[in-house]
Amino acid sequence: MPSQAVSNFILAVCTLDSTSVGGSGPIFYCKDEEELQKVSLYLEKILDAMAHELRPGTMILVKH
Amino acid sequence: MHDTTLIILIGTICGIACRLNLLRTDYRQYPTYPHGRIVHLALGVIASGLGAVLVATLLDKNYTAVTFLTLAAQQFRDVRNMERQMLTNVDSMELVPRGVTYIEGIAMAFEGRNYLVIANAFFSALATHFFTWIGGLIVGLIGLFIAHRFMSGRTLGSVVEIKKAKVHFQGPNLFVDDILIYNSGLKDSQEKLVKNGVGLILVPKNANATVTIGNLGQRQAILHDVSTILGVYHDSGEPSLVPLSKRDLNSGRLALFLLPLDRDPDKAIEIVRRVPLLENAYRRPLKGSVKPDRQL
Repeated sequence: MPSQAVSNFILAVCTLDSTSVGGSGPIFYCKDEEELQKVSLYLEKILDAMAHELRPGTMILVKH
Repeated sequence: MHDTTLIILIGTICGIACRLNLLRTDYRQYPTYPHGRIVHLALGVIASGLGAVLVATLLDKNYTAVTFLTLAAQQFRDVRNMERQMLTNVDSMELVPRGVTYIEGIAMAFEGRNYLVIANAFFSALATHFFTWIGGLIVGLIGLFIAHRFMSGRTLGSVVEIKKAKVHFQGPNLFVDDILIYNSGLKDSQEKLVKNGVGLILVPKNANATVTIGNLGQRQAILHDVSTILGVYHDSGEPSLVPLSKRDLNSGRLALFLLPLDRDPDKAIEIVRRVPLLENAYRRPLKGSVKPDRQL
């Protein structure tokens, strides 16, 4: 149900390009696309979050 | 048999028959069987007793008995609260929840039906007094049919056209035809979504329907009904596998992305067609006198 409170959080970021992300959240650097998919999948299952592709090579894990 | 006894007996029987006829446990399994049904049958007996006894007391010139009805109204409002509370509690454990609008609709139906039972018992008891027991039974039967017709509401099929649509990905974005549903980054999830997803587009027939299918409660009710009947390819902790509905803001069309276990689009269309049009969600903007052009 929609609410006025902030309900979506970025729990983690997985990326291939270390220069494209930064900030205070957990960032996972991956060496290739395959590893990116694998790490994102594991994080998705562990965190019960959803992996969204922000741009090629960068995934964010969002708790909805 | 004593006249008053006959009045009460016929009135009560007609009332109970009316409640039994309106009490259906279908695919929704609501009211739950067997105890949920017993609760509502018992309340139906009380309601029909009230309606029948009212006639007997009025004939006895005991007019203060009408105040009894206020007690009944209070009692049946509690029924509504009880239903609402229970359904809301249970809803948090559903994979695809019913949503509050659907729950309010169900709770309201339960309250309303008890009043129909009182009315049916009252009129058949009254008819028994004037036209003997045969007249009472006939009036009771007529009341039963009226109640049945009156309480079966409209369905979604009467206000929208339903079409099959293609589920596909453009990059990480999931589309049903040309309507964006959500972004899913994992290749694994994308394959599952395309393999198990069924897409439908609901095209509103007029402006009333456009507003109605925009209502989040109505949309949740559709998703719940489809998931109940066809099953759902979803589990807790799987936020990337969720059935969802999205509106096309320009045309008012509604895209449904479903994840049924039984992937038959024809069955899904038939189910969506039969989803009840929730009375709390239904709007009639075309009735507004400021809009003579009848456009939205």
